[in-house]
Amino acid sequence: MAEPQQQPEDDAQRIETARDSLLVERVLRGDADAYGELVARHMRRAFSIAWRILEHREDAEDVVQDAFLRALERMDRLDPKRPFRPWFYRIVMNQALNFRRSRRVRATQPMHDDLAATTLSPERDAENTLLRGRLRTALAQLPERQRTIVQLADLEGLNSNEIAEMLELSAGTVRWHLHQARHALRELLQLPGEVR
Amino acid sequence: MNRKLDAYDNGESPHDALRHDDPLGNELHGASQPPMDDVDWMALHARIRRAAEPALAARAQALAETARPLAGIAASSNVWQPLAGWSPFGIPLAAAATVILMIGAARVGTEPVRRSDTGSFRTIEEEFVIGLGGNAAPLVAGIGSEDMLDAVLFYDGEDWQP
Repeated sequence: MAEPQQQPEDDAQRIETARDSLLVERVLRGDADAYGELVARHMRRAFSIAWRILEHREDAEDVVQDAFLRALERMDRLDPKRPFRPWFYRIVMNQALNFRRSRRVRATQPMHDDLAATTLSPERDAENTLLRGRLRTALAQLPERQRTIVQLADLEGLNSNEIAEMLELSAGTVRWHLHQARHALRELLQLPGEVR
Repeated sequence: MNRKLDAYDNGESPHDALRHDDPLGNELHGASQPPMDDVDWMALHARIRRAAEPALAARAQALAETARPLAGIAASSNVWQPLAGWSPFGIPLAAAATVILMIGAARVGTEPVRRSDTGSFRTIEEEFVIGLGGNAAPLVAGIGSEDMLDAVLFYDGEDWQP
């Protein structure tokens, strides 16, 4: 039953990948408009990935900018046969992790400032804070790799092949980690088993 | 573990995406959303483009510099333009000449080379002296080439009398 839905998704992704490849080709020739389009296509997802690691809006914005510049520097090294998206998100993730490491060393930036800055009612706000706290505690108990994979898959909507490209793992290994992470989170959050 | 990984490679389980009604999906999405509405996307986009301008300009310039020598080669090819006008005649002529040369070379190569032992032509008298041996040499000594030729060509079985 899942097949008919999977096929159009795959086709759409192939079209997106082909479009990215064309833009990359133009960027390699110094085409500023192509670069602008590439940025527009990927900056939201890039911000989201960076924010999940940093939980700070401005830091995440800076990381996105740095990641796009780093990608431009390294674009010659991108294998034309490989898709741009996972390659670029890997750069975003590495930049964000490096940023977080340096921030820990400096220890000057407050963490989670965006999480506190909500404008909901006090009851709803308290409920959300509780939810976030529960989830963060549960996520923190996962091994780093499983935490990253479950965030990329279930929050960013990347498929296992893309995550595999990003993390340089096999797709099977990604699916296995994803399964383990979900299982662990369900237990930690005391949620019912997987819905099939 | 490898057997398990193989099973996931075959796509048996789990599915990539959580179902919409999965409690874990609801929990994840409800609790942790990036502040997408707080970002000024236009400003961020402009900022990234601006920051990339020098690198993009350098790329374009490097490409132009690479293309310049190629353009020079293309320009120098004008020298060949007048010669190119002869190509409708020159090419068939050259092809015909090549074919003739090849046929000639093949024929020369198949014919045996006839040479004398000494590598030079000999007179009839010389051939006789060599052919009859050293003792016959006095017999033909002093006879002219024409007489010698008559003797050979018109020999009637009688002893020859000079």
